[in-house]
Amino acid sequence: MELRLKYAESLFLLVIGAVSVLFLVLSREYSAMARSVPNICAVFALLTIAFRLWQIWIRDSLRGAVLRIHQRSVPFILLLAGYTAGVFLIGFMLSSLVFVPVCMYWMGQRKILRIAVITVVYVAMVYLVFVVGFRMPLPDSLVGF
Amino acid sequence: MIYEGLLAALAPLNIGYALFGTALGIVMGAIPGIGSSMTMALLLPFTFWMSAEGALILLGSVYCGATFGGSISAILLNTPGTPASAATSFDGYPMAQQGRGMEAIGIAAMASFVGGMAGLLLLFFLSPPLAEISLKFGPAELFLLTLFTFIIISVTVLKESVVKGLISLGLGLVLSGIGYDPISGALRFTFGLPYLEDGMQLVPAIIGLFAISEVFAFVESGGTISNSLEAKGGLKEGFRQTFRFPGTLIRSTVIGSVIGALPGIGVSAANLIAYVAAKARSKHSKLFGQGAPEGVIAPESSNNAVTCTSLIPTLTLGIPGSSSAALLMGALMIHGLIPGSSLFTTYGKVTYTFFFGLGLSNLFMLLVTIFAVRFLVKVTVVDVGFLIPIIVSLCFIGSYAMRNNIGDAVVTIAFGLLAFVMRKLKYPLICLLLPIILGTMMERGYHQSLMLSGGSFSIFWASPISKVILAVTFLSVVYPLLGFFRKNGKSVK
Repeated sequence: MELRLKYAESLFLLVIGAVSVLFLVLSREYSAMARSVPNICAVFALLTIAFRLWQIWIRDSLRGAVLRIHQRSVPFILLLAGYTAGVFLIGFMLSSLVFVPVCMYWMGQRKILRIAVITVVYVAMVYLVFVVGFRMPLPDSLVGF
Repeated sequence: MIYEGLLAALAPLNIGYALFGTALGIVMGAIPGIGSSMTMALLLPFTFWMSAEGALILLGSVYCGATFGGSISAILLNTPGTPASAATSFDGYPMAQQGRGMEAIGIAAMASFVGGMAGLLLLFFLSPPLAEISLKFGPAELFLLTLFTFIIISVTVLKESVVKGLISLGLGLVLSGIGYDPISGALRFTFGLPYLEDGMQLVPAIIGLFAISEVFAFVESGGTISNSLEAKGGLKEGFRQTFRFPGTLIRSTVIGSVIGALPGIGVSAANLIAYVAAKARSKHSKLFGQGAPEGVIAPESSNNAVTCTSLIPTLTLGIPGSSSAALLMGALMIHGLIPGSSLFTTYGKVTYTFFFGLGLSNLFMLLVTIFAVRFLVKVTVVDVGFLIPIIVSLCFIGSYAMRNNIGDAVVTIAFGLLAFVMRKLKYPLICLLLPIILGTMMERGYHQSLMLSGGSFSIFWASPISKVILAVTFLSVVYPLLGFFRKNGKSVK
């Protein structure tokens, strides 16, 4: 996937600029002491963003440049989101038993037995080292397993 | 007393504690997010039944080992195990990609050894005077020092676009405002979410910025980490390389030692500052980021120097310079030892045994590396398809483990996505990270200074230390600006 770098970077700058403006607006509710440093920081961020936008659009410093994003990146974001939701819903152990082999297969590994062995050994090692060895809790599911 | 300490440190049981602590520290330090503080906290209950010397040697060895262990994953996987090794990945990982992983680990081990031993010597002989100097840094000086750190890193790290560095810095500064105001305690920018009340958490931010964003790079690249299946350069070559840059080694060790002696700044910032200083002074600055040995020497020698000198304010003044130093102080107090002059007189034997134990730990760090490195570097020739899910899963554990909060895992992913975008647009990640590390300290320093001066800004240039820091900060801003205008002038002509 290819994007014009000019538009991609401008969008990124506008998003962080919007966050800075939001913080400036919200800080009006706080005391003078609580808002002074955040305000200085937000104004500093906005000034640098404005300068960069001037470089991009007035000086045309990114003419013709493109941003390449690999086709696997977007599905991987979904996979990560799914794993995060899985850890929250069914707990770390079960979601890892699903995520690890699915991710390996999706990355092009086709030896099912090897994937299964690595998955089981890895999850068992994590359990033994962290839960049994260090008595460190791993993320539980909503229903407590 | 020093001789008695040496003999006690060489007792078989204490040698065993030093070896076990170092090896455990290296392993736990290599797992992103676990690090020294957590390992020490987990071990602390086991030290109750041990002698004071044994407990301190065990915990101190974990501290030294974990600081170095973080650099192994930083070099081999571009995933810093601890904040102390964030800068090690900048050049260590490109070396691993070129098949020079063993050499990079050799450099890291030797630089860590030299830094650690130098820090230990300072701890031995200069504890009282250094503690006095660190007390001269009041809130105004600490505020100026953090400001200087922010500016020097933003203008130096990405010479081709200082503006991008400053924008990253601005974003980091804005995010560092989230949570409690460090002076008034007022809640800010939490959007009603209890999770944000404690502000942006450092560990999830680092794991997201460096580890998850690297996983995205793996997803895009596929294949193996090392482009070369043949190992170029070995551990010995790495050891030799360390001494080819004595200036970088000494400068970074001094930077680490000084920062360690100042309470509050800590190891997270020291490695970044040492890296930037090395890049600014190097004859080969253009090679930085592409596998320059100096880029590994600087952060590694500084971070292990910090581990020792951060104990100076801890042992002499009772002011812990880092969370790990605070844990060590806890262990001291559990065993009835109170920080202060008595540690060097009445309880001198325990203290010097501990110091020699740290020396042993530094030595064991080298030995463990020599024995383990051959197996460790094999990870660079494993297909990333196997590594990706395991790294992601370990990142989840590491970010969750510190506070048992699932929100930290979510923040890790959010920072990972932000870092993915920033890397694509070539924005430097360190400039975003640094305010998250030091932002609260800067804000606290600013307010405390104004409170002390009754609202007068003159406190920021009142002391000689402040004047020096201000002058250096001014120069570091003006120098790149002159370059910018000179370049523009040429392009107009």
